[in-house]
Amino acid sequence: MPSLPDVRNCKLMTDLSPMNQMNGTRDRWHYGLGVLVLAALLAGCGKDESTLRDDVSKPKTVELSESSSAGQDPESSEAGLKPEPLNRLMPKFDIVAAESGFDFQRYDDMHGQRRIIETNGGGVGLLDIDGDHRLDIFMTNGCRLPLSLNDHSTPSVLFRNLGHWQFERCSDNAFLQQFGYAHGCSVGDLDSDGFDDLYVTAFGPNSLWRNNGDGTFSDATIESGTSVPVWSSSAAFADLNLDGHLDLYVVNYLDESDETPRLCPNPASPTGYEGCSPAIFDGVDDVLFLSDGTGRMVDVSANCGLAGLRGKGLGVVITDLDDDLVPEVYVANDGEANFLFKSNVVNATSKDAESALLRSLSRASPAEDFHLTNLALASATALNESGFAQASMGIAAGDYDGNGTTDLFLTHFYGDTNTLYENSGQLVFRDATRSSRLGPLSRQTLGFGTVFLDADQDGWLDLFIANGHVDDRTWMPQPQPYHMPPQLMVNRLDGTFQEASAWAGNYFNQPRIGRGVAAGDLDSDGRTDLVVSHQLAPSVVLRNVTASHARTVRVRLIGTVSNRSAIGAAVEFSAGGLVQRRTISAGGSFQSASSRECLAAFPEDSDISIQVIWPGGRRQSIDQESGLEMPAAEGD
Amino acid sequence: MTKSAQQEHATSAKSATGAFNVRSVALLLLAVMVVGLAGVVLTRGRGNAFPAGISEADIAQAQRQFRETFGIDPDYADTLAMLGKLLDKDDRLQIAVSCYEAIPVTHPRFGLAARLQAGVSLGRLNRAAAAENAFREYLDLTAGRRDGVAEGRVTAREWLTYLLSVELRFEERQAIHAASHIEGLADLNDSKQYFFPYLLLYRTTRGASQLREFLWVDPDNPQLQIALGRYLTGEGRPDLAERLLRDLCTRLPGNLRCIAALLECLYEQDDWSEFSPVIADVPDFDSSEPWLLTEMRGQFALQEQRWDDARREFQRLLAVVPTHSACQMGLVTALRHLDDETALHEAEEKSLALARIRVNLPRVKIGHPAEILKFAEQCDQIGLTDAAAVFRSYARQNAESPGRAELQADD
Repeated sequence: MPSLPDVRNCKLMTDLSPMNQMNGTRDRWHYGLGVLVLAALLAGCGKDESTLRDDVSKPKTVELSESSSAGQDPESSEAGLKPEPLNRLMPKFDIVAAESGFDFQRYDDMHGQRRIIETNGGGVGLLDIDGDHRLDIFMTNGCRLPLSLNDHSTPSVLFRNLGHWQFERCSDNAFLQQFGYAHGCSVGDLDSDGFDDLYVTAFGPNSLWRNNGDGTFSDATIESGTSVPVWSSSAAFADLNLDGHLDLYVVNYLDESDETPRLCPNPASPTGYEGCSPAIFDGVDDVLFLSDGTGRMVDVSANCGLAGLRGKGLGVVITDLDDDLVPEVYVANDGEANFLFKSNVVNATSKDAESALLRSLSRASPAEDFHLTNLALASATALNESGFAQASMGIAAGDYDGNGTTDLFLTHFYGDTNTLYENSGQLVFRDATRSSRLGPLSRQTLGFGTVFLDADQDGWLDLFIANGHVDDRTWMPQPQPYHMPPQLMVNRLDGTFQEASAWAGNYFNQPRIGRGVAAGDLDSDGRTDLVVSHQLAPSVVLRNVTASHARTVRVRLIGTVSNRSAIGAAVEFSAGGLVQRRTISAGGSFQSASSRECLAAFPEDSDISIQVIWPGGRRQSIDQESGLEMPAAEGD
Repeated sequence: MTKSAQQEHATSAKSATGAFNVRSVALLLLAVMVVGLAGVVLTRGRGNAFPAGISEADIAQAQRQFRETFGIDPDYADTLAMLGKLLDKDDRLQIAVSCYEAIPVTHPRFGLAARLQAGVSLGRLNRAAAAENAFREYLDLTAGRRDGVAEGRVTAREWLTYLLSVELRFEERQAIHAASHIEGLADLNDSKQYFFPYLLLYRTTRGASQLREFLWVDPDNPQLQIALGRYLTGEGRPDLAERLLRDLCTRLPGNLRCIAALLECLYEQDDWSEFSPVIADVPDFDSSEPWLLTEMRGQFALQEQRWDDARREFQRLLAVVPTHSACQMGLVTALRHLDDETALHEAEEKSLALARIRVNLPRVKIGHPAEILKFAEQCDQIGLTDAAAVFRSYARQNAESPGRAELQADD
């Protein structure tokens, strides 16, 4: 059977004038409507588009006495959204050149089989390895598959920040020799010695790197008991039971083998394969380690409420979502309902505390006492408002609407929308995707890493999103772009966002395969910079060069009673009636760890008051000083 | 007038009439002969005339191929049918359609099949409305027949459901699927669409692309224009969609499909100030109204915090489409504000189950009886007993006869 006619090729039609198209039907047409329809039709040319799956396909062609088939796969494309100019200060980012010493390109061993292991890419960790208060950068790397213990050719890389936008590779000198197929990382001062430790997730065993405080690291995986020999994606350090020690939540993804990976052949693909859907894989339970306070982590997963959930997790954030000063765990799952875990820890200082259950709740026997309950469904964060378990990847957590509660923004698949869950308090959320105007802006993208940041220094949180498809689908009859431009959404202060990518610098004009993102002030100028991990292209450091005259304050908290990393603490900056709440969350974004410093920007002459809310609820005011940076120790 | 005079007049008249009748009959006979002869000539001429664009070589080839295939000499309709088939293969679809349409519906061999094949060719020509009419005509003509039309009816319904899917006319698609199930002609995919019309992705790129193909051919078709507005909304272009739909609704006053699409567009923009006056003019609920309109009623009630109203609207639609996940979520939201913990818990669990079912739907396919069976259990868990029974039937058949999964009439 011959192929179906491609009689209405988009390019051909755009060559014809509208009036020619309407000739002969003009009398019947309502002219204005005709122009609209035509505009809509013509708008269908010029840009790739596609979707998750197409469930309508033209039926087989039948003949008189026999059947034959011919499917029609007309090519189609979409015109891009044209941004409206913004009458405001534009945030702007410059790419820090390779001459800075930051030169990293992740290796994912892509050879055309499109194994699902290849899709997740890497993450970024921002940490201060030597206590010089400059954020250093850790980039996870992949390796050849199947995994080989002897393959040291593509290690993950640690870059020391030398200041003045100069970096140097220091993995070898730091003895941080992370090999294997690494994906994500988490940062925290696990042993409260004042130096950031590092946990690395991987396909294969995860690793814990303990910072020795002298610029070197030691592999503490075995002694800490934190090796997780499955496919892990993200992880987060946080003090879940408020005993003053950081615990560790590890998000696991799919049950897959590197030696006999599941493949999905497709003769139409140039390589003979297409990427397999995660739906055909089984998920793997997440793992929770509780610190016993001696350096060992106890795996409590089996009895704490995680067993059997198998969520296919990709992102995690740990932060206080209900203002009870006890952190919740929120997990972004891929095509499964998301999790929102509330622990049974009760904060004695919180307003609804009924007992004097204080610290050390689980120190003696964490496995018996500590429990997590999944309240995602009840909190309306399991599914979006259409009732769909979306393909959730990254999470940004922040108070975008300035109401003092932490909202959640999740990135999703191509053709679907990203989702903003607005925190209404009392652990109830509202899907604010439509009202925020973020939905349409994400229909033609596939998002991974994402962070809230005040990019334009107006005191309100904006959004950065790294985009890129899971694999190359440009060959498909309905092609979908592999490389996609990143996006910067500025907060319009009225509950809505507007895309500002077109003005945000050259980086935003180039499509890429973005994955992990971490945010932090790399040059201590009070503006939030970004580091983005890409696939099949060099990763980048983005310097925030927004021409703002705002006064910025940066607070670095040091816990003494609470965990030393102050994860779970919040800082409220108040000036001129505006309160900016910045929470030190664990995890967030995608497979990445952002800086724990709290940044806030105000008009130049603002009189600022600062209050810290430590994990557990104790409030502490910080005297305003003239400097940009304010280290604050608990109890000072 | 006297009686004798009356008789005389009558006799005279009768005589005159008799003379007239003789002449008339002769003339009539002559006329009949002339007309008949002309008719025969004309009919023969018209019967032997083939649609424009067909050459003598085409006809000769068709007649030759017909003889080779069927072993008999083709009559005129046979030749048209074979011509249509050959032209289809050559992508000369428009002429093929003319051939099929020229075949009388009463033709014993191809009268019915020509309707079906015309629909297919029209579909391939992207003449959506004409194709739909042809398929519907075929289904009407073959209704109640059991003599070898099952395959044709399946094909017609496949195309119809395809066309209706592209045009986002789900209520009508549901009726087609229902008929397939009643006749025992549904397959696994039909059942998936029938029981879960909103869990399969429906506003897809392929659908949007196909709709635009339809519109290039038939740009002033209001059904297609409404669908275009909905696709534009889904594609993140609500501004363009709103302009289109507002204009269209002005031209089609009282068209509830158009109004529902416009409401959806405003809902997606979270523009309740524009939403309110539009829905205020909508007539009271009617069970035959578009599903989308009922859903929008529910969303509006939620926005206005009329929780009882919202529950009622969503429940109305869920009674018809129990797997409508957006309505299920709307119901959950409404119940959160109503003092009915049991109903809330049940609704939440069902929303979660529907989300899981949606994810699992792609895995439910021929050759995977275990997956089908597992899926049937999921259906059972949320009270979808009809669906569960149907999918169990597929699982059983598929286990017994791998590669085959058609719903049997007795199931």
